[in-house]
Amino acid sequence: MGMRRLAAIAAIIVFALGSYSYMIGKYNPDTVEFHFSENIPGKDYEKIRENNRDVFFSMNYIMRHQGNKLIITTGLDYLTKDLRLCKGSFLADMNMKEAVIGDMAAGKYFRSSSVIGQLINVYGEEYKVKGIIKGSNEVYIPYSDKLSSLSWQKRIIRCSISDKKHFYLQLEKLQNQLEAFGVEILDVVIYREELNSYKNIAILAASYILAYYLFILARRIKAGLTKLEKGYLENFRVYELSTYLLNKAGDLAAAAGLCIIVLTMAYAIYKLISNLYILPSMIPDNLFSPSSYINAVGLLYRRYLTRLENGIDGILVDIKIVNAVFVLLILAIFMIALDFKRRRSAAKIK
Amino acid sequence: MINRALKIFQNTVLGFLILVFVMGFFSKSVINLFLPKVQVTSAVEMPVERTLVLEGTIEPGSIVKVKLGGEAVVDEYYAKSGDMVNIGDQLFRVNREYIGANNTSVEALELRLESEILRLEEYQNEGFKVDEADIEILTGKLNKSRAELLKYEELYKAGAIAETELSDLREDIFEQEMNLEKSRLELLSKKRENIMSVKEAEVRVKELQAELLEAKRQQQFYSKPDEEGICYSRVKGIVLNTNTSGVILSKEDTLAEISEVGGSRQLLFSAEALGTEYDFIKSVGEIEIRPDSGSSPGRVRITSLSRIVEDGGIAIKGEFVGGDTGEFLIGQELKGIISKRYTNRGFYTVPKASLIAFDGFGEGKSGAVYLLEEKEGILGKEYGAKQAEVKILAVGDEEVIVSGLESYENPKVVTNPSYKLNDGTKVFLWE
Repeated sequence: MGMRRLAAIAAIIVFALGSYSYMIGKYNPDTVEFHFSENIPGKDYEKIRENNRDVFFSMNYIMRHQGNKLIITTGLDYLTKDLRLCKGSFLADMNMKEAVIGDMAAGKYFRSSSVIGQLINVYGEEYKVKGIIKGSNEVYIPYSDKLSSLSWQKRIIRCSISDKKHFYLQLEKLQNQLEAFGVEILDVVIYREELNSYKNIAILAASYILAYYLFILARRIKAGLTKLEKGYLENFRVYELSTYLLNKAGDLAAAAGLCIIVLTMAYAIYKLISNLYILPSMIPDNLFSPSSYINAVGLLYRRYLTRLENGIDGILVDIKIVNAVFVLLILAIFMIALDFKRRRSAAKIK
Repeated sequence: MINRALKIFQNTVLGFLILVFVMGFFSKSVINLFLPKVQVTSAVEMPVERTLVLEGTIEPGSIVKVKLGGEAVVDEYYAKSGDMVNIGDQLFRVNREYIGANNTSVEALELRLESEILRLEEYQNEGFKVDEADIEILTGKLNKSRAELLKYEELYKAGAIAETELSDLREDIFEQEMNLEKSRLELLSKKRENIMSVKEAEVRVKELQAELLEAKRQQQFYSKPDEEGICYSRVKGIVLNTNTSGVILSKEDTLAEISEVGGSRQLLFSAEALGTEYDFIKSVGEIEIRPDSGSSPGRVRITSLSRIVEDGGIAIKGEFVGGDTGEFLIGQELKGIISKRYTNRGFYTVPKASLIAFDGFGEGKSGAVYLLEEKEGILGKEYGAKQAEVKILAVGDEEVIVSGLESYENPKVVTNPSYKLNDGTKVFLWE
């Protein structure tokens, strides 16, 4: 592997890890989003919440309002994503008529810079601004049954499941409970599944580099040992084996050192691969049946279509942006490498 | 090969040393980049204040609704909305032709009831002595004829009388028996009829009593126009609104509303609030009125607190303490403030923003806060977050008094909790 290829793969690893840490910094990977079509009455929501006390819930209804994104929330949004508050704090007590607004939305409502404590009017009710979100046009106000009767474009329940061991069991339980309350679930977005793809890329790229050098080193060890064996066979009448080995102690130590490095690398590859995260939905029911693979792909395709129909929001938008940047960076590296190669070839011809 | 291995070793050691140097130089700032940034404030023992601002209006204490108790057409209203009227002032004139026949006179009903009661008593006291005496006589006659028949039979056996005489007597007895049975049945039928009549009379009396009660109530409730069709005010007050003239108004339509003033009548403050505030409002029981203009503030004692079914809110009504409402006008919009100060000695007060309230904010509910832990590390002061379970004792506007932090000395709570914080997480203190 040339230095250029190594540098390119290293860049991919850096980008992938960078994207992963960026997304982890923005979204809680333990969160699951349930998108649904009809309103959930406040009482039913409370019942679901009370039945799952070890899970943090946050229900959001979203719509476009006066050029901003209006969100009514049941609170605790900061446990599912990074709200990037630059001033004040997020809504705490949902009984208070308070609002948290994005700086872009604040620019539309107010002319002065001191926005905290000012009042905004949303559907005839006044809310006191409590916090400002950086780089956002969102307007968060507390959920109320009265407001929930408006025509909302999106309805989302976000759940933060801290029990990592029984994550999917808990997820299935929540889904069943929501359906039992008559909630028609349109889409389920599992943050950890969305975020782990970057980690997987970094793991695979790093494993590739390690495997490559492991193979080279293994060949070098084999060559060194073959040379030693050949040398001994040529001189076995002159030296005793022990004398020969003592004379070649340096070569033996080098081979032993290389062996240790190879073993370490093999262990590292094993550890890396064991951290690979494969979506449960991507694992075919029957590994020996081609139709199982088709079904798994079909499931992904249907999910993709649903998201196209209902539109994407939040983490899915960020993932699309990060993916685009990621691909552009890879393309840029590829172009630089090609250009470098072309110039080098031109220099050689000259 | 040895030289090559040594070279690789040398490069690795050199690279490691450079890395250590660079990391050592930038270590704290580099590490801090990856740590969750937290802001903290000290939890202190202090009282909290809860304030609820209400948007309310001034309403009349007592409203008299003028109704006619029958269909009517108002030709003209003499009093308009906002007019002050005294007892006996003309309110409106109704078209006599359209006054419905629903105003049944109480006197007529009373007479009808009296006659019906008499009839009932008559039915109840009705005796059947004549019929019973007739039956007794018939029974006596029959018994006598039967005794005579026995004698006739003996005579007939002795050959003293002819058979025809015996058979005539038997026929006579049969006829008497029939007559007796007929009289008994007639008496039974009369008794049954009497029972029915008594019951019917009782029902009629009850109906008339109810009708009379309603008529008396209507007489109190509905206004009565004079011979020219003019209705007069029976109270002193302000006319709040009047109905439409020239249209047929039904029995239940209100023709005019008058807010009573003077005497014990006073103005009320009326407002609505969220249903979740019920306990708080009930516990305070008083509203401080702060007019926008230069008028002096007033105090209102809450007299009625009821839940609104439609939106789950609560309707609040209260009367002014001291009864001095001279500056306020009916329909005036005012701000009312309900406030209460809570003090819990020995317990800490923390900002609401620092508390992760699992079940919302309310007395007795539980939650969690993150406390800042400070310790000396290799790179100087290091900070960590420690989760503490707390219970809410009192809820203020911006702060809450909690229990569960008493064992900590000068605790500092994180005011921007996030999913990045866990028990033991290292944090970067964002001053």
